[in-house]
Amino acid sequence: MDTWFSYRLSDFILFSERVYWRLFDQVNDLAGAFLTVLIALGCLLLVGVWSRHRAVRNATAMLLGAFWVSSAILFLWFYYTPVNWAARYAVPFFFLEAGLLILLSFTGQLSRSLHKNDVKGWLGFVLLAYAVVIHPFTSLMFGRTLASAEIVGLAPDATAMATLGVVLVTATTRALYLLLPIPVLALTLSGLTLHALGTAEAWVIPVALLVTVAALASPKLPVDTGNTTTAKAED
Amino acid sequence: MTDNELTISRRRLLQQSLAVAGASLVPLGGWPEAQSVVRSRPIPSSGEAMPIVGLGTWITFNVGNDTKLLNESAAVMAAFFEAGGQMIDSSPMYGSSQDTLGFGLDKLGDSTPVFSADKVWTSNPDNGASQIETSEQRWGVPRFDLLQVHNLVAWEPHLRLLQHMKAEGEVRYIGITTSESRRHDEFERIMREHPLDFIQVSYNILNRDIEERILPLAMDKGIAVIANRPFQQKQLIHRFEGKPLPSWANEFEAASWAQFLLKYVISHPAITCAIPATTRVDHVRENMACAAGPLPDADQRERMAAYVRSL
Repeated sequence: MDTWFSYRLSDFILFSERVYWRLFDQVNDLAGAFLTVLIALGCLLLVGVWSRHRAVRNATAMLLGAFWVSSAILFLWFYYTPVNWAARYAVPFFFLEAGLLILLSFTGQLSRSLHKNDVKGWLGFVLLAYAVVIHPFTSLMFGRTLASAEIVGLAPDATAMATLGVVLVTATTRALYLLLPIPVLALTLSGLTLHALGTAEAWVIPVALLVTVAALASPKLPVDTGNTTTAKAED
Repeated sequence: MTDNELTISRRRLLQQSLAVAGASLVPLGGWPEAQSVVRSRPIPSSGEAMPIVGLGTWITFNVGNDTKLLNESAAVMAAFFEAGGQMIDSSPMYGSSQDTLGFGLDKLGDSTPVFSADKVWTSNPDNGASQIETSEQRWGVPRFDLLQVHNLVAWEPHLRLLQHMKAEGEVRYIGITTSESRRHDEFERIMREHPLDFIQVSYNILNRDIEERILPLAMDKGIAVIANRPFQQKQLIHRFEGKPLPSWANEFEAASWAQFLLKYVISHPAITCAIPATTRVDHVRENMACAAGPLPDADQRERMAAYVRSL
């Protein structure tokens, strides 16, 4: 047992920071021209969470589910697993999250809309907007190029943060607790990995998780029925 | 255990010291354009000369499918061989490192002087043989020169397997490894009770635990020693960079902190080969230069350790 206590977090990281960021270069390169399409689809999530049409809601959830599948296959399986054998064990959980998103959407569990006093929903929207629009630029902010930008649908962290956002905006209480564990766990493991690699942007993930906790702990304020974007919360 | 059990036989100490003293500076030939004179030490169980600086692959060669980084790793291997290096060490635990080595060896051709050192690392004893076979395929070698039981994982059945393979001529040398001073008591017991050609341990100027017991025992038992993590995964370089090298480092031609730290490791008479890992051609050349120049003597080694402690 003492032997196990002698290990540091960094002892479990088998690759360098340089190799880690090159994974994003490679997966973005693989996406090629479809990268623009992918970014556009990510932006559709921002629009989809505002809609009160069931078909749009279902399409948004299906799109998010497809992003979990694409990031599992293209990033985790093709690129991450060769340098980190443990990554393969995350793949089934990514598929499970995709399945849950689609299932819960079709059972009407992702049907809440943003309203003026919905602190949780607004924090979720901020998180979603960050994941889709701002997070890709962290590569520039931390001295890399846009070639290694983390794009929703390819990069697991961006996809998980976008999912936290969508779920905080649209999920009923029951759905919330079914859909949060996998992205939270994925981000926690990723945050620990970035910390062990010593990368400067390791703090981004704890902040995203704190925003999620703050959203969950936020008080439920009365619904302002005068707001045009309001829909009655269904939970 | 008594102190006497740890006493190095005088004959063995003399043999090892003579090897260190300079009889082992060997002009290198063979691989294209290799012109260096590298210091080597004999592998005690066979007398085969081994250049005292090798190449580790932990983290540095785990580059996945990245063509750019695969080619960079192959360039590091080429520079290593050109400078007279031979031993490259890897493990099935090191992600895609074995594939990277296979890529590099394939690219550099059949004539490389590689001394292939790998490990068996599985808690299931039944999987040892198949894992070794897979490792050979990934390297692209017909057999390994050295196989070690990685970090003593399921060491008893795996060591029996390696002994059997050695008897059958399927591997030339066998050994055991540990890292970061873990399980040294058990490690010592295995060294005493089982015939080993090699041990592999972590050793650097600040992690000197093994100087007390493991290294003397290895000399006494005639076991070659591979020193891993001589820079503590770059941590020592980062820690000392910006601080002045002592002027007396010129006496043994240490021109940088990397050379200062590596020369400390390879100057111990029990060390057969140190295996610093790197991703850079200039660094591999800097490391290999240590194998060609003079090494500090025992007094200088003490001075080096004291200086580093004072920083």
